[in-house]
Amino acid sequence: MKKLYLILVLTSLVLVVSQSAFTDSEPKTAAELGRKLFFDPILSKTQKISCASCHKEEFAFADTSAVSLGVRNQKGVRNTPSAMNMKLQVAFFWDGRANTLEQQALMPIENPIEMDLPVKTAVWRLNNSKTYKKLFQAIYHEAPNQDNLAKALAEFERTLETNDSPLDDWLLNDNESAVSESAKRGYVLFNGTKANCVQCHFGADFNNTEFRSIGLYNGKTLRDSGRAAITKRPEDLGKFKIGALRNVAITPPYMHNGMFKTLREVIDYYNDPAQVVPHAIGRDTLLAKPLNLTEQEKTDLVNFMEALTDKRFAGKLQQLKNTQKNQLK
Amino acid sequence: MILSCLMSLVVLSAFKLTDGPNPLVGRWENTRIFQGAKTSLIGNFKSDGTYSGFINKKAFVTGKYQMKHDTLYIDDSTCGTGYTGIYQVQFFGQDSLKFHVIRDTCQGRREGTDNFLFRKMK
Repeated sequence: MKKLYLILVLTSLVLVVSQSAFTDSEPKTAAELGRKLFFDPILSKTQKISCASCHKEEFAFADTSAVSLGVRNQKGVRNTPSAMNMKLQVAFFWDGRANTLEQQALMPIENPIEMDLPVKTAVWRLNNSKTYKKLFQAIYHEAPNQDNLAKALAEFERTLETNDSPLDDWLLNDNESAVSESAKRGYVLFNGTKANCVQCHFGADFNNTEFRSIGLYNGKTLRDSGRAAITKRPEDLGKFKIGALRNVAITPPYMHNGMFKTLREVIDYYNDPAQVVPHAIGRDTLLAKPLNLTEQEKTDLVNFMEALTDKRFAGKLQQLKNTQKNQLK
Repeated sequence: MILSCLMSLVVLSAFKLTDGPNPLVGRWENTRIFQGAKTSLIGNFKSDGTYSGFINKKAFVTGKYQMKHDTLYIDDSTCGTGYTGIYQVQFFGQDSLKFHVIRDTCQGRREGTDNFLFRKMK
């Protein structure tokens, strides 16, 4: 009898604890709801793809392939950019076709080669989910709709800020040992007139609000017209949103088409763009001449960019570096 | 008499009249609303004449500065070397200050700095 009583008490305890744990993990804010939605394949036609399928958290919410696979394994058109550090951005997607995070959040859901789900259908699904109906009511005091779906996703994305890289530690806390001497040299080069990266890559996320062509459009083998597809202006041919550089070291491959596998390849390209893409159309005049970087300078620049990796990804960075080293052997 | 006055002046001018320690050295923070969100702007001014700027603790600019009495001369890589901003620095005791633009053609730097109250961080 005593044993049975003990079993009952223990069982009740387990049930109470597990219930409270479930309740505690329920989203209580718009951002938490947005996180739940971000990771939920309910927002794709086949219910097999979520935002997080391409924006992988362990890779700073970017992907690891040149282009990502959407529903039914359809290949995307452009490289998946990181969804981190969006709070200060003013344009979204490589071609800037969205002006707000709310606008941006819904487009991949509807895109036939990404999640392929009309937003109306997504909203219908959410309204037919007891869990989501309850959550939207609690947080937005209304049933799920297109607006609050977009807001929730956007609010979650706004939480994905990183400001604890070795570079930040060095400069804000005067911690000289936070970055290597090579990275410090790289920072000087980055800001100096020889490499001149800062002309485009400036700001809190090391990109500004402009669209520039670095010469990855030639109308033949490189045919993505970028910003011009949105503005219809010939002068925008081959222009793309300048990529933000925080956490860039863990988000290969690089550029709108993922054509560069490593940061070293990126630096080699900038060092002499005409050698890699000889007949580019509309390449920015900032890249008109080779930079003539030495091998050490290239290494310093790579080390500087690695120093922009938030400390939470330090392990992932080391893993990637080890993989790249092994591939070179 | 005149000679002794002149001699006194020569002697006095041989002594360096120091400005004292640079009161700008340290980290100063302003908090404002930007794009509807609370945003922090920090300037870390070092004693070696270099400084760094931070938005929400993200490093975004590095440059050089000089203080001459209450006038700040500031250069950075984003605005470009040679585009020196000149500001009058108004201190409120030791723990807060305001920058007042005298001349700065760099719009971003001017808009982020002019007339904002910065508090010294511990």
